[in-house]
Order: sequence, then C-alpha cells, then structure tokens
Amino acid sequence: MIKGNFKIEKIVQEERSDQELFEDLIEQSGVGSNMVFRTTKKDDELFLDDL
Amino acid sequence: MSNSIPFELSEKTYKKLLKIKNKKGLSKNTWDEFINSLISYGNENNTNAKIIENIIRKNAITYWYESWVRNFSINLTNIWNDKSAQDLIHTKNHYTSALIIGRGPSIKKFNHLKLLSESNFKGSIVCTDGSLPDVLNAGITPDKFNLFVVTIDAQENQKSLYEHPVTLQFGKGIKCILSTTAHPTVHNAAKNAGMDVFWIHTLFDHEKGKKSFNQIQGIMTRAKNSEKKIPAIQTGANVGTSAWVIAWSILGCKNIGMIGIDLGYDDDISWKNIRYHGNPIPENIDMNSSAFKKAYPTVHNPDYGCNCKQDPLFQYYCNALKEFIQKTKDKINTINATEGGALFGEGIKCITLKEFLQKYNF
Repeated sequence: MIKGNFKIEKIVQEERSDQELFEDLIEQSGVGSNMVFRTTKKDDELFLDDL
Repeated sequence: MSNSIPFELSEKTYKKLLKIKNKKGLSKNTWDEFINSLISYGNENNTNAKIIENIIRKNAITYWYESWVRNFSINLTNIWNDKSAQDLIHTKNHYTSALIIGRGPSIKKFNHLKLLSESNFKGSIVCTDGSLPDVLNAGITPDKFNLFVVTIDAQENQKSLYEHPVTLQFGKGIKCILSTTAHPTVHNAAKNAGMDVFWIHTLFDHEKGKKSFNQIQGIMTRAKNSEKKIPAIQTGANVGTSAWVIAWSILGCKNIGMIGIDLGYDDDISWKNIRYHGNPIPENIDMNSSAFKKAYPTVHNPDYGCNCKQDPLFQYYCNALKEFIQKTKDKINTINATEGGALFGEGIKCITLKEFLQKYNF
C-alpha cells in the first residue's frame, strides 16, 4: 500500500481544483465541426488513397 | 513495458484514478501516459494541449456520429454516381502552388481578397466553404482563377453558402470537394449551382479496424463498383486544415500558402464580444485565474509581432495543424500569408500575401 502524508495531499488537492476548472472550461467550449484523427500508424494519419 | 515497477493501490484509490483517467479522455491511453499527464509540469503546455484534444475529440464523436452515419447513407447513391477526389489526383502537378483561403479577421484587416483578385495568381485557390461568397464577391472567380471549395461540416446550414446569389452566378467552373458525411442538401445545392462535385472521405475512426465506420464507408463505397476509390483525409477538425491536406495530398502542390487562417481572434476584441464558436464565455469565471488563461490564452506571434486570443477550439485546431505541418515539412512548404493570428513555428514560413504572390506565382 502506498502511503502519503497530509501536507502533500492538501497541495495536490489545490492543484487539482485549478485543473478541474480548466477541464470544465474545455468541456463547455464546444465540439467543433469534425475531429482530429489519431492512429498508431502515423503514416496513415494524414491521408489514405482509399479507405 | 520494460523497466516497469510494480506497486500496490487500494481498490478505492484505483477506482478514483480510473474515473479521472476516463474524464480526461485518456481511457485508451496507458497508465504510464495518464500519470505523466498529471505530473509533466515541465511540459505543461503540451499536457494541456493533449487534455484539450482528448476532451474535444471525445465530445465531437459523441455529438456528430449519428449525423455522419445518416448523411453518408443518404449521400451513398450520389457517391456511387459522382466523381471521386481521386480523379483530381491524376491532374496533380508538383510544381504548382496553392493558396488556402479561410475567413479569419486578418483577411479583411489587410484587404487580402482585393489584393488576390487584382493579381494573376496561377496556382490553385482552395476556399473554405464559409469564405466562398466573399471570395467570389471580391472578383476571385473561376473564369480568372483555378478555384476549389471544400465542405466537411455535417450540418445543413452549409447549403446557404452554395445557394448564395453570387455562388449561383459563378458556380459553374468551381470544383467542389465534398465530404461523404456532408449534409445531403449541400450536395444538391452545389450541383444546382453548376459545380463539379468530387467526393472525399474524412477520417475519424479508421484505426478501430473493420468495425469502424470509416472502414464500413469504404466497403459501402465499393459495393457497386469495386474499382471506385475515394481518398480519405485528416481534417484536423476544421475545413481550413482539410483544405491544406487536400492541397498537397490531392492537388499535389508542394508550396501551400494560407490567408484568413488566423486560428484566433483579434487581441483588441473583448471576450464578452466574441461568439464565433457559438458558446459564450461561461459566466462568473475569473478571467485572471490560471485555468482561464490556460483555456483562453493570448498568444504572441513573433513572426508578425502581434497578439491574438484563442478559445479552446482554436487551440485544438492550431495545435493539430502545427503538428501536421512539422511532420510534412520535408516535402511540403507551408507559407502563412495571413499576416496575423496564431499559426507560426517549425516548418511555417510567415510572410505577407504580396510576397507570396511574387514568389510563388506558378
């Protein structure tokens, strides 16, 4: 079991709070009209001659 | 993973971490990647960029998936019968230039459409659909220029751009490159305007194998004619980036200029007056908070010596386009002639439109 001490936990909670607010802002910002495509085959990420 | 270190967590802690991991849109990433996203303070901008991309991607596919499937199914007969963007590949000429036209604020600020209309630019002009009426009204018409227009959006209101009186006047002679997931009424409007339509697929879930809708699209496209091939592009989530990909991958241009691709707002406009992406700034947010400044930063463009504001969507688009430009910089010259905005960095040459027209007019 990993054990932490109270002081460190308190600092982490404050940072998370700011991070959570940031993520909430992103959630509320919209979805755009399409999406960035990601794949592990980086050569296929930008263009394919055919599907 | 090599050199991994085993450790123990309580089930309660594990469940908490799993919840955070999923909320960040990192459900498919490794635990190592997730934990690094929490602790990479030295690379905070990169981490924030990943969080922005993961959240918006997750929301986009949830929001659009049904529209894409519905539009594709209705378009299918026309996809079978009309031309593929593959037909344009055969005409490609690696020695020509292309100019992408977006509708960012710099295009009016620097009177770029007038400058272009008065030029004898010989390369291909690839308009984003939203810019088309302004482009034609400025005198950039298919009788004088090699003109393309691109639509990737799924919503019906894009058709109004094709029904605009000036589009109807000059539609014949414009080549329309249309996503197979675009709204069917957009196809009808483009044809009614006299345009030649060339279909293209947009990539969104191809990596998921045979169960992905992208791969099903490929099978259905070839169902009637096994020889029919329709290329598929990375959209970068917006039509400007799609136009950039089309310019090199389909039209085969090596030198690609851009105007109106600000990917941000003028710095002198207050956030309260900005509505471009539809969602106003949340009320009661502290604009001096660290969270706000990360989500809505003011970016300094050192090449043009200007500042611009970005919302999360513009950050998402801009980060992706910069990454794609970096990846292709050895084979494609990307020249930003917008004269403002947030697009600068490795592989991007920032100059004026006047300089672009002098240097790349072929």
